Amino acid sequence: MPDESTKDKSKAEVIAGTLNELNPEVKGGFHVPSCSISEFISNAVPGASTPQTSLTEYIKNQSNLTYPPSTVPTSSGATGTILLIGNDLPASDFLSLSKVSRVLGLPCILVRTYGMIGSMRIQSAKEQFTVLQPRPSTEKFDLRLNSTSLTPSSFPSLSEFVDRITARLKEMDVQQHSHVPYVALLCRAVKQWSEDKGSMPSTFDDKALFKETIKKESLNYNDELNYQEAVEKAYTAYAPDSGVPDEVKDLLESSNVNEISGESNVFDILLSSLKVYLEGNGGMPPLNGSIPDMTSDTDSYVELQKIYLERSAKDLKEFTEIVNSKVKEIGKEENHIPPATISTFVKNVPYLTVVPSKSYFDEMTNGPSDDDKEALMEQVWDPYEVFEHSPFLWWVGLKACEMHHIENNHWPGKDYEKDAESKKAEVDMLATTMLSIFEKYGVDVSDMEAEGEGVSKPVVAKIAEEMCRFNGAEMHNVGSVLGGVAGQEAVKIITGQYVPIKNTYLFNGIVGCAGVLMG
Amino acid sequence: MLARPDFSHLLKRNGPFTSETAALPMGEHDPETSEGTLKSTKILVIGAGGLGCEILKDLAMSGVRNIEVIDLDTIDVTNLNRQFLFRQKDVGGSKSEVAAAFIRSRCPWINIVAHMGKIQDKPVEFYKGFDVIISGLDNVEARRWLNAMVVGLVDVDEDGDPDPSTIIPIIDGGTEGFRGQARVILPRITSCFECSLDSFPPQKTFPMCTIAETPRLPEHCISYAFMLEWPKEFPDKKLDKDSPDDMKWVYERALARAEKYKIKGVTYMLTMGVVKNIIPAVASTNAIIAAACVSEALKLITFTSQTLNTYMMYMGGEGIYSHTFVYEQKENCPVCTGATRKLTLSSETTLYEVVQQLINSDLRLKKPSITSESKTLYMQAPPALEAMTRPNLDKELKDLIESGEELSVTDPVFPGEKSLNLIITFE
Repeated sequence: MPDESTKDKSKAEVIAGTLNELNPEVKGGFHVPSCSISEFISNAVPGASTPQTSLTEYIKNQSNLTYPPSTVPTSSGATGTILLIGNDLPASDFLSLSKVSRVLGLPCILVRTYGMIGSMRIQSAKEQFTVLQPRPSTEKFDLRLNSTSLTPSSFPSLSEFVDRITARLKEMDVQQHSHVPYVALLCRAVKQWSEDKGSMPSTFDDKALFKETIKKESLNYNDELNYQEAVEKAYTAYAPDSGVPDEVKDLLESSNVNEISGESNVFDILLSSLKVYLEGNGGMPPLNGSIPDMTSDTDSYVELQKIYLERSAKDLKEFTEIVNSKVKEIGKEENHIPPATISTFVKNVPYLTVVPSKSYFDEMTNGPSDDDKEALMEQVWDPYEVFEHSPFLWWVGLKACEMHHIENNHWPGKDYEKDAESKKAEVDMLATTMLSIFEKYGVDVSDMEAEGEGVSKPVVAKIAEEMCRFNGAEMHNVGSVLGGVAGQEAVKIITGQYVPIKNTYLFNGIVGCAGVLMG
Repeated sequence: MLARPDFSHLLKRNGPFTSETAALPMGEHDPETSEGTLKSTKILVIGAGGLGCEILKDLAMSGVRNIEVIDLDTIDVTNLNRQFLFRQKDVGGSKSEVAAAFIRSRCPWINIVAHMGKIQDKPVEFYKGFDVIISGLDNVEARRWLNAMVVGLVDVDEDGDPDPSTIIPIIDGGTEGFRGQARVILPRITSCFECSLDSFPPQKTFPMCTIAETPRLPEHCISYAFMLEWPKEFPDKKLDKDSPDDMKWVYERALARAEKYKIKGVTYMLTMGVVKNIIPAVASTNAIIAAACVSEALKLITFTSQTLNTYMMYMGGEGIYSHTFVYEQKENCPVCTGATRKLTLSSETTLYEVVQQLINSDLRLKKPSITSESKTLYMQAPPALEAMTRPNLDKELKDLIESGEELSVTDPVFPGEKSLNLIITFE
């Protein structure tokens, strides 16, 4: 924390020093340009592009930064990214930073606090974030129960395990019987069904009957958790095994994936390899090898884990061969994509995520596309306790303030104390700007306050008045909330783990609600 | 860059969203006096850990002048990565004392008092002395106790209306990995912590100090093997949660530790469950939640803006999902409604079974003691009284009470004399 002794020193220098105090491993540096920050970001000093006067030159000349950033992510998905973060800069500087980030091919985060309102805009290096390791809160397990029961030869080790363990069911004592993993019970049941009936259970009645058959095989259904698990998960056996998510299927058709070259990034090379793998394996991706916790004795569970893991290793080997031949095809060296990266990719195939990311500059200068408008309309109706606190409305309020600042070089609300007339003029002007934004986004604003939900002029006037009251005030706690949020997003972007937001997070500190605005 | 106005700027201006306009109006914003109110207010911060450090820093940076902080813990080396008021030299010292000393040295104008100890050891008078209480606790039991204590401070008149001058708001924050929640409790006006007990399933993750120093449960041994022994043994290899070999190693180490501590119940399955569920503390989440809590405190004190009504959750793993909603008061909340619990049981139910039911039902009591108007049925303490009343446990209700008789239940989850009324009617 800065103290009295730091008075009159460069803010950048002091803050870089305190970072090191918090964590000795942080290599904090600072730079004080010889021109204004605005000129520095926009490379606007004529004829003198040096690291002292230009952000672009500064980044290119830093020995401890890798620029351009590596196209090869580490096993965790990180690319050694340089991330540009702009905090509470004048609105016009946000535009410059957004623009220069896209030119440099670097992601950026723009953070603004304004009275009780805070916003964070994130922007990817290119048109989207590709997340190699999304770490979802709920795992999706690829157990291959359906295909194994239909075609035992597709997964012989699992098939053999199921036959061996279920053949002994009748000889087991109560303890053993209630600890046969549900995976084996289900696999056997669905195999039996398809042998008897020549198809999988498909109608509602069939499915109910299938579950009933499993129940009947238990010694005492209420006591046998493994049988309860089998009934609960019955659909995983009769429904076709899920291949890759639709979102990823769409990606496989993109030109980046179909036309790879020496310039391609690693993610696209891996996707084009996945496409080849899927074609050779009936649409099924390499198995990721993870199985859920389930009622079982230790030995059976450990054996089952081994079966899935060994199969996963075999699939990984086949996939790696495809990757290596692709890499050779595009003239790269054998280890262009490290084995750890390939393995992480395979583990995450069911979760691969893409987040589209429009630039802030584009948003502010070109306005919304039809898709943006549609996404935003959903935000308008996002239910909050009180409609006038919907983050969307305050996002428009803040946007109006940004526009006001670009035009006037100060925040609205400067003349609040002068007299009632000046105050009203400022509020009215901001409200008018807000109305023009609503129009641009295709949102109807009614003259009178409507019953229930809907944007009305009185609500717009209230928000404009509050934004004028704030007058760009800096609240420590709003800064701290937004600092934390930006910190989380920065970690996500740098590591390629967890999913970043799409576009803007807006915090309404008046009532402590927040939302993500995707328009 | 131009100097920007700060919080005092807002205090001096009126606007359309001040406290009196809110769903939970707490007072009228007065631009003439609210700065003075902020300076004279006295705030209690409970917990000086990950959230507590942030809360104290936020209060200091917001112009609050009188703060007290209480924590029973000492500083562990594993705290240093996020509890930023502590340095290497402070390891082993009292969290509350070191945190207070730090704030005092950087902000000498702040009057800050540290208390090292359990919140349960402080008397009623202690809690009465604060305008707002902010808690950054890591466990349900301490929250329940604090909540019941502060709800108990409210004077209620004959019509059941609370005396506003006796209401001390509690602002409660909690975090777990990328998730967190902040809530405002206005005792007897909004829902209280006890109203929402059902949404806090029994704790699954454990504080590092428990894992390292005082394991009690098999889960603690597993956490120790996984979080501390593995990195020591294999500094360059990440644990593969899907590898049976790696997991077996953790299981065996956990088992050895459990045997050393004579703790039963470490199994391979439990090892899997614990390893996959461990949620590390994330510094940025603490920053978000602490600042949200302090922001609410400032608004409740100065009336300069509306208030969170009543619960905000933040989930930062997949994008950001944030949801703010009114957590409704529970109709028969044993703490804030004073409602009497009614049970219908067979007259042949033993007192032991009633005690078990109080522990296992939604009331989630720990060690209930039961008295009727005429006699003491069962007391958990002191030992002499426990021994004297123990024989009643095996007796059937019909031999102890009348059907419909009003009983009084006390329990350590509630402070002091706070009791729950119970009426058992025979089937």
